[in-house]
Amino acid sequence: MEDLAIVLPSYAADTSGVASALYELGGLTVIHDASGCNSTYSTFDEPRWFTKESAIFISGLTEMEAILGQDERLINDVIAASQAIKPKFITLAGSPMPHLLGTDFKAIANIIEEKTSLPTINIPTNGINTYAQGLADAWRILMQKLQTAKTLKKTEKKTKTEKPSINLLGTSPLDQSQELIASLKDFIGKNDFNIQTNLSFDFQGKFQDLTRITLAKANLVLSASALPLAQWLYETFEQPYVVGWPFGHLAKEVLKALSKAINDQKISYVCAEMRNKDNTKPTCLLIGESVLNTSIACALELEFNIKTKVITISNNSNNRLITSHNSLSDNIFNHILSADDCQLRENESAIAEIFSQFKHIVADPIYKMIANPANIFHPLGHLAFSGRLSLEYPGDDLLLPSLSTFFRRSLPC
Amino acid sequence: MLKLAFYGKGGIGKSTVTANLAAAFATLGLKVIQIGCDPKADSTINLLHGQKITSVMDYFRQYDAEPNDLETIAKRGFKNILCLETGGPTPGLGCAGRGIITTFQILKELQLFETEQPDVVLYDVLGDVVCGGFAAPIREGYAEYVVIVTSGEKMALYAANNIAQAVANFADRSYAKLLGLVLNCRNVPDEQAKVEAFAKSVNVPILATIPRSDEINICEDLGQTVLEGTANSDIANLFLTLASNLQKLTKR
Repeated sequence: MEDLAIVLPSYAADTSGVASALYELGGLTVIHDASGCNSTYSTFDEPRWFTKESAIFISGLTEMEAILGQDERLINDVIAASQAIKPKFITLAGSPMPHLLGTDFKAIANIIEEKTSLPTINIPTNGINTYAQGLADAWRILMQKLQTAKTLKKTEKKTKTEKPSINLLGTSPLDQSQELIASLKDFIGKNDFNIQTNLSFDFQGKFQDLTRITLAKANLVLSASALPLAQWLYETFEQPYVVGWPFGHLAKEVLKALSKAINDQKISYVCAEMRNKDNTKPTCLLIGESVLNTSIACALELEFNIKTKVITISNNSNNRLITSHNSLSDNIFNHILSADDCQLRENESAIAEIFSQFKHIVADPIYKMIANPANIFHPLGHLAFSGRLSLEYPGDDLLLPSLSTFFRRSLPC
Repeated sequence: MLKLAFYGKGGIGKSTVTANLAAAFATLGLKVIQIGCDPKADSTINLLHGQKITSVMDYFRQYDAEPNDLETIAKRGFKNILCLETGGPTPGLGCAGRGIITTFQILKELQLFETEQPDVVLYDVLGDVVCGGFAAPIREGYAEYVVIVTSGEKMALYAANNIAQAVANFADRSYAKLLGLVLNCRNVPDEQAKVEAFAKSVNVPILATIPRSDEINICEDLGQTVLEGTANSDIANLFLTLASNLQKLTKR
């Protein structure tokens, strides 16, 4: 019973990550799952559903189709849907039932691609892994597919701009609010950079924009889920990247790192490099996405001369329920996290116990329900955790020159 | 890398043929992996002097966790052949097919082929292609060719035909192709003619005819293949010839 969670929900699953990553990119996202579950992927976990169109198709897998292995129905339905909708590409993602059946999505994707002549990819989801892995796989596998299809090579013609251009990699409403992304774009624009591509939140572009991603001089990586893609772009196109958000006093360091990346091809995990490495006891605890929260932690340390600890969502690598692949390796987190930080592998009562050791907590508002009365709680919404409850706490004031607005209730010192 | 999957009716001698062939490839100087894909987990027993290894499913049962390295689930047998077994669930419970898929995912994660760099990989698969799990060894990236082991018995040929049809049905999935048959004789009347007629009907050759052999039985009692137990015998030479022919045939 010690693993029982009475208050805390689970983080969104990998299928939601795939739907979110590809939401605005012009493809048809197919989730092979029993019918009636569309809302999980495209409304509960997706605030864009009521304002922007996206082609998401739930296959409606039945018990008898599962028993009889009728993959033909899925193949024919996807082909029919693609003929009606005319997407730019097709994505297949599985849920727990096909995962247990061992459905061969790779073979099915090959058949669909042959019959539709559309780039067709399979994202190896099982509905059990976290959304972070779904985001990571969707971004990386799609871009690699476009490269295989040689569409990325069509981007040789470079546009002349006064300012150097960068891509924003790793944006998704599951991890950041619309307001925060708007503030970031505003900040980037005011600081002599052009945004080539914002993948994939507020994409508002055409499919062709994806193929221009390699034109940018550098990538600004805004979540751990974007690191597999960023690393592949670096290895394939020599596109350097900087990991971190330009919050508070960290902002000038991020801008410096971007300039260095552009001029010297230097990769920088600025959110980790600038952290306080002394042996003092952390007084502020942050929980959530690793790049976002280590960036806030770093900005807090720079501005208030304190020590912080970040607990980031787990990559499931120690989850004994799961035997599938793990694209977000511990190695990725090792680059982002500092010595005091860790991945979230604790149960609800253990987290409450950890809370009691800190004065300040920065986390999604649901965590407040297990916080100690003595904790000073700073809510920062995380949609992948609390859904629409998170929308009240967008955290866009983190991008002001000082963090004091975000921490207006009480400065963490 | 030559990757072959052996299918056939239960009890037809798949494990005997696969293990002797693995030993023959190794005797020819090649680096070999044999993966038993049967819940009984006894495919490699005659490469290991009768010793059973911890199958992947046994490891899960025992430790309630994924194996972190190959050493915990693999053993070196005759002439350094790397032996692995998927194993299976508690008899009558669980899902053996899913066990095979899980095993293959784990072997991929452990980078078996990248670290071992084998010349030959042999998959010894349970009975028939009864569900998706038992087709896993012939999916893209695993075996390239299927070999069906059969005798001239009616039910063995019936199962062989089912397997051949299943492989044909997967033609649009880039799965393994049917390479041929191995006739493991049971001395039924007109055995050779019956199997030849079947081979013709599915348009593949008989790759080898293995006669009834006491030497095979004697060696198996000692936990050995004929390549180890009676290396200079005709039956050992027959497996060496089969290994050599398979190399030539697949290179073509």
